[in-house]
Amino acid sequence: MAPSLEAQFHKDAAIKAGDLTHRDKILRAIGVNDEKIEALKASQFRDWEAARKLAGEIKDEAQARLPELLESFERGINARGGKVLWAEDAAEARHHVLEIARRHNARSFIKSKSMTTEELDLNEFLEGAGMKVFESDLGELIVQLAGQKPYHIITPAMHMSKDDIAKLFHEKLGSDRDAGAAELTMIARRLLRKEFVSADVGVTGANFLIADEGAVVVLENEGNARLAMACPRVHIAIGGIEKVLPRMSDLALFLPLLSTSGTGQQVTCYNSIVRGPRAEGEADGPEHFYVILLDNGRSRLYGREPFRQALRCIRCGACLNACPVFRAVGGHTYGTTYQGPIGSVITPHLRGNGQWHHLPYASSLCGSCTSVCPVNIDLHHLLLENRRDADERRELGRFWPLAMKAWAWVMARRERVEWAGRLARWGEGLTPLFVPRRKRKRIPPLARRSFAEEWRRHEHSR
Amino acid sequence: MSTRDNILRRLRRGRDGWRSRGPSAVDERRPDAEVFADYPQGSEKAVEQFETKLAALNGRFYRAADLGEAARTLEDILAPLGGERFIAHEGSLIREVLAHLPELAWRIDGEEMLAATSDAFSAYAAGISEATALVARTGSVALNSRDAGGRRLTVLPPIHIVLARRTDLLPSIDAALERLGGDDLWSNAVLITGPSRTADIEKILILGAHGPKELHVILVG
Amino acid sequence: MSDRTVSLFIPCLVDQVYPEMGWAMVRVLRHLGYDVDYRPDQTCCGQPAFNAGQWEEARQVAGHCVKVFGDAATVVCPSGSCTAMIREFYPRLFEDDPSRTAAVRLGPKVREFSEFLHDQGAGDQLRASLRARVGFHNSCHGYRELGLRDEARSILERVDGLELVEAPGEPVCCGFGGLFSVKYDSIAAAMASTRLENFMKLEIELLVSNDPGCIMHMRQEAAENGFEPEILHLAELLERALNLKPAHA
Repeated sequence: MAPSLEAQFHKDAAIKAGDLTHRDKILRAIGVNDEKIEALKASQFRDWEAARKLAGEIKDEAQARLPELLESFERGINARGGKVLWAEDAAEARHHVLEIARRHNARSFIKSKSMTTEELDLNEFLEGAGMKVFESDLGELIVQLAGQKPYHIITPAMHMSKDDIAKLFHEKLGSDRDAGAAELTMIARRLLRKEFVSADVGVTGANFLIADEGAVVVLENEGNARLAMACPRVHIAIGGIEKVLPRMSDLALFLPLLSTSGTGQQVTCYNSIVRGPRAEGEADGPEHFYVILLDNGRSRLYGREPFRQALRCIRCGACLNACPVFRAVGGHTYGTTYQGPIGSVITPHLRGNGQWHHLPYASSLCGSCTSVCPVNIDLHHLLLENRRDADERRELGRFWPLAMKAWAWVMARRERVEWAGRLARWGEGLTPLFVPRRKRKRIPPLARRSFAEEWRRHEHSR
Repeated sequence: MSTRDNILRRLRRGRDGWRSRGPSAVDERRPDAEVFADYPQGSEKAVEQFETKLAALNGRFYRAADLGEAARTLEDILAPLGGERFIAHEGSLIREVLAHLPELAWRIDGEEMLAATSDAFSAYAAGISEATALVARTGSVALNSRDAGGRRLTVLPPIHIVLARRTDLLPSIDAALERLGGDDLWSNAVLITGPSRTADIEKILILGAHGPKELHVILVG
Repeated sequence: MSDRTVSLFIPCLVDQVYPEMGWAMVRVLRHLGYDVDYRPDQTCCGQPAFNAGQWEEARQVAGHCVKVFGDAATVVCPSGSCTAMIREFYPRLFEDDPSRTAAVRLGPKVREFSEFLHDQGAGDQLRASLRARVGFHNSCHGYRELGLRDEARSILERVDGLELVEAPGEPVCCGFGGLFSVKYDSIAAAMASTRLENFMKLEIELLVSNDPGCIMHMRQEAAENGFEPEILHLAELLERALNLKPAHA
């Protein structure tokens, strides 16, 4: 039998936490951006705290009007010759993609970076259906070649060194064993350029869905998303239903906000706004444009207070970078599409199968995530709410709930604390029988007498 | 019932269960001038800021007093490219500039090639297009697929050259979005901020990942 | 009771493991002229159950705490975490509970130790000296829930001979997190080790913090990885710097 997700997480976390090479790699990668991001917040925004509060409010407005805004978005896209498709779950979204491919006799796909498509395991699916699929974002290409999942929602290959990547390219693409970063990038450019000009379908994600105009907005740096929506005959954009912003003008705040928090850039290199397929009188562009709106658990989360706040997320990755747990265990350990604090908040709800409750517990609740979130999500408090939710749903097994009940019973009366204290002191020598050494190291011995007892002894005679 | 209706119904029902909806449809937006500390003050400052920002992103900025100077600048940019061919979208500004460069004209393809296959397109060494707007605050170029010769011209060739008039220089992104939004005809618009880049390998910055390796902006007037 | 009376909140960890931290606080407060009131019925703020997700159990314990301290004027607590539990989390914990009013009323009366000293302007009255290069670990709950920034620092800076050195940037978690450090001990240990390494680079002789939980966790890790500087509670450091003799051996 496969180990439970919780047991697997425990095991992987312990391995990664003890891996100092891994730690140094991650701390270096995060450290490079950290200072840049903080400096940029200060130099670009009059008041960063006010800006993120405002962004949270705009996202709240979008949430309060979500059904109407989605309808408005759909009207806009359809009016310009695009087609909006709705998907209840990953399977339905995959089905849509395959149907589109069949309708247009497509055999080859070129994809730009999209975490939403990771929810669909789209590459594996399309390859299984006999299609050719290329990831075109450099980081995504690297993890695709390595047969891995993205390590980080913004930096998929954060865990690999230049040397790891040179070795990988050498094995898979026959390039020089000691190629540098520039050379590796150019290898990817040449390899994928061929695919861009010949692929039938370009697939992109959607960072924002603009309700008033009916537009999909895609942020990137490499130009691969632009190529994916410029060259192929068909463009499919896949986005979660929560990605809606009410107005095109909201982008004036959200483009810099996402770029600043995500990569420490004022705005990313390319911010594309797509309203449809090639319009009349335009020189080029895809003949067909589809937008797949994915639910996949989001509407369930939407109906739940206070968790729905997490649907504000714009996937910038800042909470991952700030999280000391993420820094210790790395992205793959989570076993989720979305790693780090935001992943631990939303995964139990999105999956809804009662098997992800361990993630909210894998947090020291330090609150670093909350303090960096550009849309002001109360992340660490939602982790607490998730724990309560798991307890109410009886997902926690027997041991901890029972232990806590016993603890609370004791703590409800001072006499019980006294008795329990005496009992614990008497039985302290027996702990090696029950508690493994590794855990015992984290707990110091009890004092000879409690403070309460010392007070009685010394202060009563004062 | 369709998936669409199911999702929308579930959302509406979920929303009914909320404690409160909060301020619905409240217009909380602020103009960029109130949000951003680096909002350019005054029009000469705006040119300066555009230049500084673009340079910091490894883009090249040129200021041309008139069409003739713009033409000479364009000639200089293209000079090192020897016998290569170029493609341009001949909007009114580009046409006026190219009128000063008769000896170069045979190397620059126009309208008739914009719909060529992507393969054929890949042979061009540079794409020349007009901007819808320049954004001073961020050093960005805003353009759209209708007025810039489609989608490929501005991303496939390894060099992208943008021409803009002084009146196209706007202070911040909000104004650029407004200008883009005022046109109902394009299908694709993009805010370009520096040449294509990646930092996916050890956060090392490499220019020219998939898009243009060079971005040149000529401001006329 | 005079208006110089303060009630002690002794966290369960201090009660059972580190009573000396409680005494240090008592001595410093008395030295500053406060009458110290200790309520022997007290147990715990309820945070362990709250963090475990068992809010019903947390309410039982918290309800007891509200009863014990209900009529106190000022409660001083040597932990940012327990203070945050009462002040910041009780309103949520008791949201739909009949005893909400009493629970919410207690919050503002509870002051974290460094916060209390700072608010009372105690820095000016301190005639303390300690020659040492000292690092300060600000607890996450103190920093992010209570918004404590320079409170402890302002006190430490008044100690003669004390050189306060700090790591740049936001305070980073030591990995304690209560239940977290038991359930996920390997992650918690790695976090503590990273935290201590950063302090090691500052070449400090003493590490001081304002939370017994962080201190316990860091002390246990220090014993494992050879981190030499002594790790003290702010109250213990002040007790030493003020040269206060223990009332009992």
